[in-house]
Amino acid sequence: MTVKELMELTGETRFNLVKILLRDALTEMQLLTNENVLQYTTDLVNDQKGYDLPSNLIQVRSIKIKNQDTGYYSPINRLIDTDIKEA
Amino acid sequence: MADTRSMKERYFYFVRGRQLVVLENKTAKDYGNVNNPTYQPPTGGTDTLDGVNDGEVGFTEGLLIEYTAIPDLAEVLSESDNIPIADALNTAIVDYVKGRLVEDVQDFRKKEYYMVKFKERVAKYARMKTGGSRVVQGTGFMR
Repeated sequence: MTVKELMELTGETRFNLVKILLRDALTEMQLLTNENVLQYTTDLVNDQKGYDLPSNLIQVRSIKIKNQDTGYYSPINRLIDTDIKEA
Repeated sequence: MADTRSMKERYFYFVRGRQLVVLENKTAKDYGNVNNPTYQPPTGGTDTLDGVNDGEVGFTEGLLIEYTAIPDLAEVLSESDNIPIADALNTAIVDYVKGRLVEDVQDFRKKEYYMVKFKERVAKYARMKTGGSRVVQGTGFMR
């Protein structure tokens, strides 16, 4: 469906308004489904524990670390107890 | 002696605000004495990193992050552009936009109607996406 078709179906003629509402709709929809799943790789920096997450993120689904021996990414577990002694 | 533990046993993560925190569960051999924390930032890797990590060392592309994201509307620049969404969700989008438009004129009854329809359609889509029977596998101790 194009934006024009959406505008005709809703009876709204302001393109920018429809685009903003469309963005809200997609955000709302994304909270209800896991439709738009993305992946990216980043460097694992020596002695660094914090990595910035993207601004368009809704939910982290999985984190994998590359096994340097095999070259494959292996999933790692989420630490439930965050009240831990950190360096 | 090489660390024979699996990646799952060695590394852990949690999300703290807008940051992903990756920790390594060090063995007693690594952290030396009992007063040091068991969970420490991952160490190792000899790759010379560039970009935002310029000047650092580590494992290039050592971390794979999978996440759900807000769809990008940067490509939608004109009325003739396609909405980047599954066709089955088109009707839900129409309901949502109609709901928001009647909210502007304070017709809250209609707004509720459209929002309920929107949620129903999205839920139906999410439910129908995976085909096949929905069966829970029982185990020996389940009666």
